[in-house]
Amino acid sequence: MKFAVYLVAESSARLGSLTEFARIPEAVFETPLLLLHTRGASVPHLSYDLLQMVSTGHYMLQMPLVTLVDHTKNVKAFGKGIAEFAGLKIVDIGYHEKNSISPWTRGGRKLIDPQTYNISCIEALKPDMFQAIVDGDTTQSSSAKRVRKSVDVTVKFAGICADLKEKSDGSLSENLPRAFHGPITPIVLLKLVSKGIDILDGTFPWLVAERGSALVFPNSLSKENAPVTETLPSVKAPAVVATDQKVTKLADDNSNKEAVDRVYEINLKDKIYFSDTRPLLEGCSCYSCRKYSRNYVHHLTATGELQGPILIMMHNFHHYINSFKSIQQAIKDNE
Amino acid sequence: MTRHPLTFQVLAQCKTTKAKCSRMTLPHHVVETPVFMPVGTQGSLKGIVPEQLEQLNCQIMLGNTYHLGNRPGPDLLESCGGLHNFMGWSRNLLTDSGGFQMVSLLELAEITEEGVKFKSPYDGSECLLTPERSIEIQNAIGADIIMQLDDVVSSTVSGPRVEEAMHRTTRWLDRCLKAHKRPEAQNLFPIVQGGLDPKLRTESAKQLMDRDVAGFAIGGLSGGEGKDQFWKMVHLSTDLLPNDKPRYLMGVGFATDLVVCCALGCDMFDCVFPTRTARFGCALVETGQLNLKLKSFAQDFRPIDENCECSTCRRYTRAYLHTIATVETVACNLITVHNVAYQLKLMRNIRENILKGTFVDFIFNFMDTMYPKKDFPVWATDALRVVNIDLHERGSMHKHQQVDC
Repeated sequence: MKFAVYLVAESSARLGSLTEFARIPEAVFETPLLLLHTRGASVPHLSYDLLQMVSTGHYMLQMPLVTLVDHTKNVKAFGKGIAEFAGLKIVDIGYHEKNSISPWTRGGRKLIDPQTYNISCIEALKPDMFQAIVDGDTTQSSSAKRVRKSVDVTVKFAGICADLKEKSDGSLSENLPRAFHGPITPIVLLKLVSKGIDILDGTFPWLVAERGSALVFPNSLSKENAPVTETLPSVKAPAVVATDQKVTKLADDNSNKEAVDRVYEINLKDKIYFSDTRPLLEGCSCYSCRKYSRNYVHHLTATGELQGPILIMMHNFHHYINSFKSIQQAIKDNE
Repeated sequence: MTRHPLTFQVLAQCKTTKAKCSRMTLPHHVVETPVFMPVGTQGSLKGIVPEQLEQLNCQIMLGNTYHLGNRPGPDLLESCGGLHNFMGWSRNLLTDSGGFQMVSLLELAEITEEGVKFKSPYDGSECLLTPERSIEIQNAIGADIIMQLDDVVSSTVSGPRVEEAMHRTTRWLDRCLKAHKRPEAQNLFPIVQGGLDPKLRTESAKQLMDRDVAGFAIGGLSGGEGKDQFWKMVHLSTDLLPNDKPRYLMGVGFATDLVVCCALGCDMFDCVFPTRTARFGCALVETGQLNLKLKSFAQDFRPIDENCECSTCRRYTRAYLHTIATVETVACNLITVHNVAYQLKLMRNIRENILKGTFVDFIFNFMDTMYPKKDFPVWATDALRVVNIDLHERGSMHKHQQVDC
């Protein structure tokens, strides 16, 4: 795989592309790149057909190991890699894995060391890109010692993974893309891109959908500048890909940052939408907004119907994907 | 006689059984019968979007008045121009009266001549569902076919209560007809009752047939009664009800039941079974069900059904579905799509064989595939025998009909 930067803006934001993947040599992925989050190798709530109704573009999928590790031996028996196993042949062509050392799966705790990771997981699943396993078990309140240890362990693992990879097919990219993992709110997204991050994960739209909310933040070029309120973790770039993770808790995070960002979403569970006949977001061209109104989506979420999360996910992804396109355009136009 | 917003044209009649293939037109779309109607209880078919249903060529589906009457309620639905607009479904809808859910879901439902008295599950207040109120809600929902509020009695009950319910059902039908404000847009169907008593059922059918309606439903069955009594009441009902109006057998959806009841002369069916079982990870196939959660499917890389053309079978394997069944909601969407496809394909095969005059052979093949050990259910064998099909001695009865069929 090759990574090339072809434009760096004043802010340090960069435009680039990922090409020459071994499995799919003709594919080109523009960066900043959005990784679509998946669980069990499918985008949450969206089957292939529904995903096609959101966008027919090519996407790279992020596959957290924790949702797959129980099934690696079956995928290995299948023999053609996780993409085809999950019915994602032809359109969806790349993926990236993220995991912690001992993921908690439905079957309990599983221990993954670099050797196991490489042999059982990587060889079975055959991803186009994978991330070295990291010790991501730190939060904002971890002690300095714990954080140091996690970084040491991470670097060590990264080294082992890189060695194992080199032994198997000896290809390590020279120009290294920078990836950031973790749910990314719109403000953080802009800041990360402006610091030169190239690959970002798409967990955020899903997390918002899980709490019954639709993204409504403005995703085109006329954006206001939000004040910088938090510092970014530093980014390292050894081996293939490596990150420092700031692990944020799912959904019920009550920190100030989340409170500010809630302006950017509407919660369809709220009774105020009972008779609201507007689309989720006015002017949005996604399937959910073209066809349905807030009162129907409110009804679906209030009654616990599965179609609720489906419609919200379709909108959230569409919206988030479009915000990436706007960002790429803005970098090109130097805004 | 008023003009109903429904036409029913018999295209072919099976010469051996009572099955027929017909074409029904309703305000929103045409419906080919016999038809299976999937159930979208609360204004959506759980986990799939209307476009997927259209791709499967579903022409009519159900909504539940009890649920929709509570949430979002008739006022909102009316202001949106009805359930069709609200849920984005442009083909046909059928709503039930709400009576059945009320009696089965609520603990303290009490039936009086006025209506069904119950305690609201939301605030405990006393509510009353009358025939008038049921029709009012159904008028707001706007379905193409609406059902009368009937006095529902469990089929396991016997004695004077059954007769009381049968007569009351007729009286409630008249109240429903009077309260119906949109007869030019919505067809009101009565429901034949009478439990498992042939005399009562006959009386019920005769009374209902005296009213000017576009079609009839057969109710009070597919509850706890034994199958051997079930089929006899279906057979009796279809003998009585006119052939030129659709006959809707409520609550029937297992494949074998559908095939036999088509042979007995029913045209319309509904059931939650295929969509409900999908959510539990079970896929319907010609030989029964596959429980995809079983470890035996972990490395089964075939689709659910190699001959199925639904979008799930064209792209996904049993092994992959095994990994996500009941874990990820995507599995619900995928298996539901397949199960609905299976049901609709079964009905399409039934219709095509009736049209071609090969329905009898179809029944033999269907039964052989579903029961490879020839352990056909006794009730099915008995029921088919009265419509001139002997599953065990294939040649005997069929020969007499060969020239005709």
